[in-house]
Amino acid sequence: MGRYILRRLIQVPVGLFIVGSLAFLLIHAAPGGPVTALSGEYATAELRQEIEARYGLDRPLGERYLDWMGRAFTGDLGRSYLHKAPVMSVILERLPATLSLVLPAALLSLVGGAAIGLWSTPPPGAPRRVLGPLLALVGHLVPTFWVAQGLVLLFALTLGWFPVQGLDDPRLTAPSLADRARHLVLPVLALSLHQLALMALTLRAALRLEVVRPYMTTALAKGLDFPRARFSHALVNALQPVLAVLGGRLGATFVGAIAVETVFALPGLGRLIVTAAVNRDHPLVLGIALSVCAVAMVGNLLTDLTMNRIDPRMAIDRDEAHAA
Amino acid sequence: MTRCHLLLSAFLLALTAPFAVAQQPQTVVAAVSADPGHLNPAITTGSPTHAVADSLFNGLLSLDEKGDPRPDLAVRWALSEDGLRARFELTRDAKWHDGRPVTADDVKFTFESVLLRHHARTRASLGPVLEAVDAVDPATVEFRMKRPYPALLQQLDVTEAPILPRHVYGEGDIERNPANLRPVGSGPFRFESYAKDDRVVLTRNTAYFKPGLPRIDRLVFRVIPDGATQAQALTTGEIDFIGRVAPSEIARLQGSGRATLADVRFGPGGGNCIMTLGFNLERPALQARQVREAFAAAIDRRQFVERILVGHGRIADAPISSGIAWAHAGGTFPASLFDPARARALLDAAGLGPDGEGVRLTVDLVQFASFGRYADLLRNQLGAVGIRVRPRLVDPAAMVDAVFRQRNFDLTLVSYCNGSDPEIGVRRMYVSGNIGNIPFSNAAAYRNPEVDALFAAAGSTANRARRAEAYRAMQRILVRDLPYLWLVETDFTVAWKADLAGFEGWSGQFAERAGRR
Amino acid sequence: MRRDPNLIDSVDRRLRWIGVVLLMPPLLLALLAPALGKLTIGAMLAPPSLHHPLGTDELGHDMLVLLAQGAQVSFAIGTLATLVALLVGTALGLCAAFGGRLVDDLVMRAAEITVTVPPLLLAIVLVALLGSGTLLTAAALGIGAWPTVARVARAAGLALRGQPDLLAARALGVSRPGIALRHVLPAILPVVLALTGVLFSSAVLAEATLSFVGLTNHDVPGWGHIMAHAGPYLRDAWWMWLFPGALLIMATAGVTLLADA
Repeated sequence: MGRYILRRLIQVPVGLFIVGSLAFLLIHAAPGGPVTALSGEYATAELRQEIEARYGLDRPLGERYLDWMGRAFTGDLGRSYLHKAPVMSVILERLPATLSLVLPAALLSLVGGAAIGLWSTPPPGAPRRVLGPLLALVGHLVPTFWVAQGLVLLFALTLGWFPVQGLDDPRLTAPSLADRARHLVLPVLALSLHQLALMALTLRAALRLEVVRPYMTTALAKGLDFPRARFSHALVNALQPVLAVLGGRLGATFVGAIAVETVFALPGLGRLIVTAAVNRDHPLVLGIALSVCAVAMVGNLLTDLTMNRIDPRMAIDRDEAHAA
Repeated sequence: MTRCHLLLSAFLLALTAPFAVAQQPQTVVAAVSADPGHLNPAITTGSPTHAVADSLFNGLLSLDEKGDPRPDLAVRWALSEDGLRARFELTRDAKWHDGRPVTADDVKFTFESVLLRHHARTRASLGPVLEAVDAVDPATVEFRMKRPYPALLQQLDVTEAPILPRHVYGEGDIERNPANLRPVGSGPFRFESYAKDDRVVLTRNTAYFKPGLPRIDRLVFRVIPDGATQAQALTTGEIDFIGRVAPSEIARLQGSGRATLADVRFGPGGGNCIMTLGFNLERPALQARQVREAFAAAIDRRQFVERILVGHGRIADAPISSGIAWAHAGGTFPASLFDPARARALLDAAGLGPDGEGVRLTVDLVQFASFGRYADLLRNQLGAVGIRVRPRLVDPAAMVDAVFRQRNFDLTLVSYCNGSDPEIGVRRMYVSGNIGNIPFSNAAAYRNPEVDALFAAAGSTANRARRAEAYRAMQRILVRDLPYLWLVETDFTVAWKADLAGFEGWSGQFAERAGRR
Repeated sequence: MRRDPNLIDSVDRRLRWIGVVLLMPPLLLALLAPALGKLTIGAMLAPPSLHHPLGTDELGHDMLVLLAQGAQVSFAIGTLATLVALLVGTALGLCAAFGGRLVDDLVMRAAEITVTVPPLLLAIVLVALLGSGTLLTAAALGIGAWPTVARVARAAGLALRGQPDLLAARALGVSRPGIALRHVLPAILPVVLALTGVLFSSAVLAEATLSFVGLTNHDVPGWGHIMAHAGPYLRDAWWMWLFPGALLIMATAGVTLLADA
């Protein structure tokens, strides 16, 4: 067990190293580069050469790799070409906006997903409820940006209940929680849909296994009605895979945030990486990709370790399989 | 509290109430399409930076609606007879945002140490021509040139040549100067805060050297990349100003009754733009002039104006934009050229008959993805005469690489902005010395010594009549040779909330004179 | 790719017929696209009518033809990405199952690392490097999904290891690759193919998102691109937003429901 934890812990930096190296190689093998974005429309050949020299783009690949790797280990992810500032600080500046989107969405998806999951689980023997799972399935397949556009169309443009863009009203001289909340309603709704659907399906699957367990039968025999038994007993046990899924989905949530941030013009990491990609701002693209991977790896690690404490059997499937 | 205290408090509160109301700052919120990245307009030509940072600085001159120079930091100016010296007298009232006075030395520093090294457009145009910039005395600047440069006065506004304070930007590597994110300028607004990809907040410069300006207290720039979202935000009142309205939004904004719109021919950083189809003259299939004439005859440019520009623009009827009226050879490339039957005949004569599927020629078209609608129409129109077009829609970096570095294309679509003088944006398209790995240079790889000579002649004198002659002669040659097809002149439209006025959409300092109607 | 495929089992199996019904329109559109003719320019922004059953867009293109061509793009990318994922995943999964402990270690570690990179993120990074391209996008999306396939293939392969006919074949001198191809592959194929639904729908959705944010470069616009263009016209031309979205959902839901057959 201890060996397993150690192994998983080591995997994170090793994994990051590999991902980072691959990404670096790919990026620097690319044609073009940021010179166009930096030099603009009226540049001369001389200026372009100067830009290349200034950013060290004319040095050999190996040298640039070692230089970058060395710095990356100390947390220095280089400087963004376009923002003319350290990548790390650019990322950290944008992080709050993305978090204020992602965290409420995660919460909403958990609560909403739990509700639908519970509702979709009838007592054993009763006919299956398919509406919930079907809706969840559709909800899972709908493109996030489509949902976002639809929400804008209905609630912002037609009904006028919410603003069409932004995190808050730029006219206010002091930030207001109410204003921020009002701006976040539609984006959070759009972002939470996928996760909510997934939660609902996962919980339903887990609950169906739980409701046939002996302790449920006992509870029902003791006079507890089914919904309450489902909620206070089965739910607790069924939550474990749900939380596992939640932990493992950090990367996917970020991807959803890209679409939502684009539709609502939110100043987050999702939009940042798209702009950086279009402008070939290599250090920034690399920095964001690495950060997302790092967070995803840590999330996976925590999830695995948590699940491991509860169920040690999961750790050793590989060893068992090879013993066969 | 006693009743007395209560009464006193109420009375005091009532006294302050009018002040409380008056203290609501008058804020104008402008939309910009991309995050500026940094706020130093002298080291970049990128429009995101200029859209925001130009309001923080001044140039020696500024341009009015027609493109003629008017005073900014310079109140008087004179050119010498031989055109080799230009003297500018600066106002004595201008101060930097930190209180220090603006002097001729700052101008000298800006040109010699900053612009000529980092500002691509000024460097490309003034660089070869400028001998030196002298600070004759603290309020007088003299430009000494190697040869007469006719477009000098057009390139001294805040977008082309913003003046920076030496005492803030003079030390060290200017690219890493922290003032790039907390700028100090002389402009109508001063910097307050910058939240990346979200907003930039500027406040009124109370010590601005132009009396009575600016009229508003706060200018906030909100980053909204999508044109439709910008227009929606204007109708809901979330923002007040849009610098470039997407054509698809114009009708809606006009219909909403909430916005005032104005068409502008040129704007900060380039104007008088012509959407141009370029032939790669190094491709054998396109080398026969007849073939290029066939392309010209196959394209119905009116459809572009109608469907893409929604009426806000016009057919380009000459290689130089009609916005530069004195050089524009109107009618040399008229709409009447559209004649599909003639196109087919020309292709037949060139030996390109239709094959089994009716296809005579297949070409690829490399262009920005954002111009996708042009590609659609071109494919349709050229397809009707048997020319199959394969569009390759790519992002800007890839397009520049494919077209200018690798020269891997048959056709390309470029929005070439002429600027306010042909020296700025026209010459680079046609001179044989400008073919190579330079973005938006001579994409066609057109080589004609006659045209080279005419450009040299037009660029070496300040006499407008002689220059006009040279430009007209050259345009006649160009429409005969057809290295490019000049499709449409694209105006752009500026919009602002109906209860505001005074915006100058063509200027970098668009909000200098803006305020409530 | 993003979720445990076993979850779908919990949906009523009879709903699989719904999958067929849902899949028909987009599939038909994709297949009939060439027959529908070229994109012509008609009236701009016309609502659905007899002449233009799905309306027209802002340039006057008939939406039916546009969406049919988009269907081709989406199906092409979905299929390509799925094939890449299946090929790479199955090959590596079988290597892991039969190649000995070291190989298994390597493959599983690689899988864990790959899993942390969302395929869409990988595609975005690739666009930043190499520019956008249909093949590249499909490959990137497919490669991001190989771990899921590999895990399933590996598990199935491991389950087969002790089987008598395999041992017999080994004893008779059949080579390892031969065993893999003739015995193992047919046995695990059904299991692996069950993933097709997930793989396909994830790829199609990812491509739509990439189109939407402007990072794709198709000769012909995909559904995501069409929907991105619909932004300005949400209020006036609801058909530009509704139909592409509906088709996307139908295609992905249809394939997902069907694949569990």
